[in-house]
Order: sequence, then structure tokens, then C-alpha cells
Amino acid sequence: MIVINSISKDHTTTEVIRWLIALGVTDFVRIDSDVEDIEFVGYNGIDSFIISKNGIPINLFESKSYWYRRGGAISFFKSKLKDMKLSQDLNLEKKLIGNISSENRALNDYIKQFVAHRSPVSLGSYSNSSLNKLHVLDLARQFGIKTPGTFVINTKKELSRKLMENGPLITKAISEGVSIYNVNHSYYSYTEEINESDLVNISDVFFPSLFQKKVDKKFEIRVFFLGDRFYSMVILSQRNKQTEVDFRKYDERKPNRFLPFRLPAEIELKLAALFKALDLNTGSADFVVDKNNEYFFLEINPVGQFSMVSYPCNYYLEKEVAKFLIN
Amino acid sequence: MSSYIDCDSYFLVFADCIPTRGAKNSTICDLTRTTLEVFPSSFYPFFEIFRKSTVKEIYIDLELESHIEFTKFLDFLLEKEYGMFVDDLDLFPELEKRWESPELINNAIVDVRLRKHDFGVIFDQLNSLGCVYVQLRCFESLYTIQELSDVIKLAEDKSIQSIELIIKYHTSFTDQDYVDLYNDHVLISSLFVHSAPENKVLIADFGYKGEDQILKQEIHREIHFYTMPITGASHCGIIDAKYFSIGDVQSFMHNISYNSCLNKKISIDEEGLIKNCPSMTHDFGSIDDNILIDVVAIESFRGVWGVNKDLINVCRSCEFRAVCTDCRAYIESPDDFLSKPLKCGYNPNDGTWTDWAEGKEHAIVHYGIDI
Repeated sequence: MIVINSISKDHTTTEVIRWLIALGVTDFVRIDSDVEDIEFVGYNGIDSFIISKNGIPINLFESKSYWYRRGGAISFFKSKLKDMKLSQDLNLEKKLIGNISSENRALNDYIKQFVAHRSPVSLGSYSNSSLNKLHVLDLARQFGIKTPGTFVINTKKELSRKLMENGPLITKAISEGVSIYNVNHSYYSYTEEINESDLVNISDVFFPSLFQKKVDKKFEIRVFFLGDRFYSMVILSQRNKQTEVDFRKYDERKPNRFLPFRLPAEIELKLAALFKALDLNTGSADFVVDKNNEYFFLEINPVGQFSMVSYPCNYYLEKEVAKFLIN
Repeated sequence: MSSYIDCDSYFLVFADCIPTRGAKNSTICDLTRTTLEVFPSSFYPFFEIFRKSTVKEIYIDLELESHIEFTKFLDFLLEKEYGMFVDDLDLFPELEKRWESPELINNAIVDVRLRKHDFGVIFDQLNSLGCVYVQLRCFESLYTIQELSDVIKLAEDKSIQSIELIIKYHTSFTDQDYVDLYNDHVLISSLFVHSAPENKVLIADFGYKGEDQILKQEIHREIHFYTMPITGASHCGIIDAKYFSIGDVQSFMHNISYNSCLNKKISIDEEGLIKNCPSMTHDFGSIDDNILIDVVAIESFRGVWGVNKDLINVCRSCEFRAVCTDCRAYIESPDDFLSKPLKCGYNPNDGTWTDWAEGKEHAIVHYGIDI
């Protein structure tokens, strides 16, 4: 049996499953953390670890292959909890619910750990699905991978000094960028360039924020890592002011080119070591290449959208992932 | 004029800009910007030379009198942004010429005139084939809007991801009925109404009343009304530059590897006959007596899928073959399956378009086409 953790709207998961079926696999289960069709049934510690999907029991001991694609914890008790009164004391009730939800999280963590260890084939990692960017940059440097000068700054004074020393900087979230919708607007945060001229709009003291020296970019590289292979793509966006700092800002008239790329073997070796140190056998890595052909590592996203590499480069990565899970 | 004669770099033609050699003219198709440019075939060999020699070496190897022409060609490629100068070509591999898809059947056409098909059976069988897209063409107003809605419902929770709906205008339905039909079914990807009293467009917004422009744009769907009637399958098969398919990498690779119109397609015509395409005369029996998966297993049913333009007379030397859909239902010599599409007026040997019907009386009569 192949067990897949994902979320219901993840198109990539759907495509991989289509390939699994085409390759003759019938025994698989997709667990979407945002759909309430999974129930906990029981674990005896020996040979039976049962959850159910739409009432159909699944023994996780039978998992031969596991893919942690993405997604968080399943709420095993959510529907029942709604009708329960745990205490008359509201404060106490809130704390009890907090207890139950941390129990739920721990149980969920264990299920994922259990399946990952139990399955001879395991791809992706829930426990490493959210990396700390600053830590990964440190590690990358240890493996001899260049990174842009990186600072965390919280005062205008210091920012101004760094701008003077380094020239233009970029800023981005330390964790995840903003992605918020309400009925009338969508809010996203991108990687933004910061110049001396931006200082007038910045307050004297602000939340500690991540800044990096802006690389004089020739092009960007997105690398998908699977098992022991790298699938790389170059993004040519430098002709275009709008996408110069962040290629996600599309320009429909002059769209960026996303082309197959062969990462130099030396960079591949170092990057493989970095993935290994992070205990990840899949993920997406970003680089910028400067005008002197130096490769600067930016970050690793363990649950990145590899379809955005697969389609333009004609790599059929969804099929490769399916084949990985079958082996 | 500036020259690139001292340039020690290679000229990289981007992997998404793909040249196709034709008899007189050649084309370069930019898959990212979805454009197609024509140039004389005498320049085509440079695309191979670019992968071997630096620009300077190319100039040295050229006759002096060709320098100006070559410089002009480089100017053209640079101006169109089809490439750039690079020091290391090995970093930029070409796109692999390969196309695959996991489903047995990708798309189906179901025609409706006077016979009410058993859509429950049809959609179940398409589901077992993994069919992703369905086009439902109604030449007559056989169904009410409510009945159409019931038909679409039968396709829900199956492999089918979208349905293109072409229906005939009927006076008993209001604009709101059409909009409601669209809004009620996420499966409907587009809705065309033919034989309408006027050409117009209605907007479906799925009930979104917010102000977010991006979301609005994403949700925004148009229902197109055309006065032109669609009376039958014989309208199909016209080859014209406006139908060239310049899309993404996958559709290009599909088009050069297979017969992109027929590959992984199955059709049920207005009589319920199973065919590769409703316009074709040959059928594989009625849907009443046959199961689609058995038909797909027949070698001769799948045989036409692999007939790409490299196998077709005339087309194989046409510079548009990588973006042309082809048509195997109406062909110039009905007895020769590899003859060029009947409704194509292009001659790649002299690079001219003429009226396709000229001198084709024999085939026109054979197929009973009204012009």
C-alpha cells in the first residue's frame, strides 16, 4: 500500500496519483489534512495501526511506500468536540481544548513518523517540512555553498549603514511570506528590493527583519531534488524590471522563460550534501547566478511546487515521483 | 550595420524557441510568448551550427558575401529575443522531444441531434478510461436547460475535469437560464450558443460579489452567443493559420509526436456510433452494443493516433507542421490515408495560401460537404 499525505487542492498530488494508476497501482490511500474523512480507529503496538477513510479501515502496518507531500494535522475529534461541554468554567474549558489539540498533534506526528519508518520507501518529511531559512543558510555555507550576505536588522540606523556598505539589499520573510485573502482583496508578500530611497518610509525601529545583499543577477535557478537526482530550471527574467527581484511577479506581455538547465556538478555535490544534512530526500532549492557566474544559494522549500519545474522543462516529474514510490 | 564577428561566445537559441524546417520557408515557434515567425529555409542550418561553433567561428567559416545576411539573421533572433550569447552552452540543454500522459483516453466528443444518448453509461465508461475533457455538441435543441443540467450532473465525481458545451439557441430560455446553467456546474469550462438571434456575450461570475480584481478575473467566465448555426460535424477540419496551436511545451511536444487531434480521443456521433472523430466515416459499432474500453483496445482504433505530420504527404515538408492540428477525416485523396488535409490551401513548396476547394471537386463530392 502507498500512503500519501497531502491537502485536497494540491494538483501535483492528483497528477502523481494519475501516474500511479497508469503504472498499475491500485492500492494507495490519499490523506488530505483539510478533509474530514479520516477517523482514528486503534493502535495495538504490534501489528495493527488502523485509521479509516470514509469508513474504510486502513492498517498502516501495511504501508510499503509513504509520501509526505504536504499538509498538517488531521483533527480526529473535532466534530465530537463541538457538542461536548468539558467544563462550566470557560477559562478551564479553553485550556482543556488546548490540551486535547496538543494530544491530537502529537498523535498525528506519531502517525506520520510511524508510516515514514515503517515504509521501505519514504519520500519527503513532515518533521522537516518547515525549515528555518537562517539555519539552512548557515548549513549551506558550511558545505561550501555561497550565500548572499545575510543580516537581521531592526533599526533604520543599522539598515542605512548596511545599505551604505553593501549597496541595494533585498528583504523577505524569515518564515513564510504573507498570503492572506478577504472578500475584496488578496495580500501577498514577495521578495522586495530595499534602497536608500526607501528609508524615508521606514520607521526608526521595526520588527527584526531579514535582509540580504542584492546579487547582481544574471539568472535564477530552481532545482527539484528527488532521491539522488537533480532536475534544474533556469528562469530568465532579467530583461524585465517587474520581475527583476522576484520572478513570481509575472509580466504577461514579456513572460519569463523557464528553461531546462544543467547545474554544474560541483554545485550538485554540495547541494546533495546539504539535503542529506537536513535529512530530506526531496525538495526545491533556489539559486541566483551573478554576472561572474557565481552561484548563490537562497533557500530550500521541502514542499515546493515542482510542477512549475516539470511542465516548462518537460521533465515529467509527476511520473518520476510515482516511479520513486513504486520502487 | 554592426556585426558580431568578434564575438567569442556561443549563440544560445532558447529551448522554448523551436525551429521547424519547411520546403521553402521555416518557422520558429516561441512557446513562452506563443508566437510564430517565418524565415527563409536557407537560414535553418544555422540552428545546428549554433550548437557547435562560436559566433566568431561561424563568421570565419562563412563566405564573405554571406556575412551581411548572417548578421541580419542574428539581429532578427536577438530582436525577437529568441536567444542570447552565452559562454557555456552545456548549461542549457534542449527540451526533450517527448510526450506522455497517464490516461488511456484524454478527450471525448459526444454529438447530439435527435437521439438521446444514455449519458450515465457514456460517462461511466469514459471514467474507466480516465477521460479528462468532454465536448458536448448539440446541433438541435433536443434538451431543455434542466435536462442539460441533469446530463452534466452525471459527469460529476469522475475523471472528467471539464466539459465544453455547444448548444443551439432556443427562444424558451432566458439569458438568466444560460447563466444559471454555467454557474451551477463547475464542470462546464465553456459554453457556446449557436443559431442565436444576435452575437453577444453574457458574463457568469459564480455569485462572487467582492472587489478583488485578481479573483474577479479568475472567476469571470463568458458565454458566447453566435448567430452562425452549427449544423453538423462536416464543419470541422479547416486548416488555417488562425487555428494553429501555439500553446505550452506539452501541447507542442504532443503535436510533433502524435496526431494531436485524434490521439487519445474517442467520439460518439449523433447516431451513437463510436468513432475516432465524429466527422469520420468509419465506425467501431454502436455505443448500445459495445463498450468503449474494448474499442480502445482495437489496434486499428489506436493506429491513427500515431499518424503525425512527418508521415503525411506534403505536411512533412511544411514549416507549420509543428503547430498544425491536421485533419484525418477530410483528406485530399480519400483513398490515400496519408494524403494532406482536404481543407488546407497551403503549399509549402511555394509558400502560398489559396482557396482549398479549388480543384478538389472529387473529394468534396465524396464527403458530401456543402461549401
